[in-house]
Amino acid sequence: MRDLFLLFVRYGGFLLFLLLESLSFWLIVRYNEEQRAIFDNSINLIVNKIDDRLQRISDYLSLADINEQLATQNAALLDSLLEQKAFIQQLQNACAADTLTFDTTQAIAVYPATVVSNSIASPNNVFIIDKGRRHGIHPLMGVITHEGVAGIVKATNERYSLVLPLINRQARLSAMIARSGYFGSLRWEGPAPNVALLEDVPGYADVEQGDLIITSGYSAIFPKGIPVGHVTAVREMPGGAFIQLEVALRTDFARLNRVFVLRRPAAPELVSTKIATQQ
Amino acid sequence: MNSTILTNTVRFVVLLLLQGLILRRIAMEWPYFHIVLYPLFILLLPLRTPRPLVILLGFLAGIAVDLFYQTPGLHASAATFTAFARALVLRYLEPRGGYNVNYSPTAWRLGLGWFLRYSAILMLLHLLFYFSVEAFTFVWLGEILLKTGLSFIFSMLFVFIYTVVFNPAE
Repeated sequence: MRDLFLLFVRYGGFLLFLLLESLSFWLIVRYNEEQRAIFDNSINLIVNKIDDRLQRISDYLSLADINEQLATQNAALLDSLLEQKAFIQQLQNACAADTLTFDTTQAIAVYPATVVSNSIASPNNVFIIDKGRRHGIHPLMGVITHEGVAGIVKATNERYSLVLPLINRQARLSAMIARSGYFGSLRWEGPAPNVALLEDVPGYADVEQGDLIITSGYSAIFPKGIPVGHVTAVREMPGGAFIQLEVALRTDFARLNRVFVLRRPAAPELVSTKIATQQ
Repeated sequence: MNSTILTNTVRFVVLLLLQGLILRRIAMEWPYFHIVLYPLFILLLPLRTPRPLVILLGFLAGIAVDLFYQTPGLHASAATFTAFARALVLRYLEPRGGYNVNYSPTAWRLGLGWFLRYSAILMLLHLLFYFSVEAFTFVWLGEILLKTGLSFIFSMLFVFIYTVVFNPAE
């Protein structure tokens, strides 16, 4: 008791200071809204931080489990992918047998490529892709995107190819109305990089606004059925024998990036047939 | 002895009313003009006052001011801290011949220069502690320092005026 008293005499000021400060802080936190909110918030912050750390540690410890799960999932996905591929192959075979076209739709080789240079504002737009002769690209191959037809390879060198897009005044594409099968010749007049014209469609053709336009497969370049765009307007030509369709192109030429070059095994034969006919 | 107690009691009441009724209104009009004068009561307690008593009186003065400001504990914590720091500052500023423990640490006894240094150190500590507790975090350190600086200037002006006008011996 005496020691305690001496202790208080010696350190009494400091002990009293601590006691009264604690009392003050208790009063502050108890009775002042603002400080209380900050106090609660700080406590929350600290607790959350500890929580976060613990969560990370437990995440790390359960990595093996997660690996196992992902591997199982991958295997399952791969399985279903192969199944789908086999199904698509079956469908393609059935299609080929059905449509009685020569075998050009089958065994199309697809080369992925990236656009390295592009133009959309001139009447003679062209774009360049990063694949050339050494990758098996030759003139007169078709170029598509995931959206639809993009253009036709015009010239190649070892590493690059120049492509004539649909939005070039020289470009011509044989296209048809998907619903009714009437075909015409697609060309572009500009200046809008998303509107083309389908001409030489007979006046009695069954066509409505919104009809899908696809490639006809009559040219050597594209197989039948690749989407081109939608009909936005139907105009009668003078004389009334033919109509002209305004087509909103599906491919966004203003942001071409990934494209695919198509090679049809039968293309050279078809081209030579056409040339022979013209002569 | 009795006169010392009376003097300090009167000073306590005067400073408390000055702080609670007049200076508080100034701070309400212009938040950056937070002038504090009441710590003078702690500063001017007689040198022989036992240290625990100084701290207890500081706490009580702070609580009394808190009643006016309706901020329970805020001024109390700052005043308690000031009372605690008083002994340390007194030791730091001790003249070569030591203190006469029968006196109070006033400008009359120890000189205006000494007293201004003494009050400046303690007022700065008081204000820094006060605004830190008011913010209750050091996130707004810049604002704490700005408020402390501005309040320090005005408070010291009032301390100076008080000292010159009353120039208390005890």
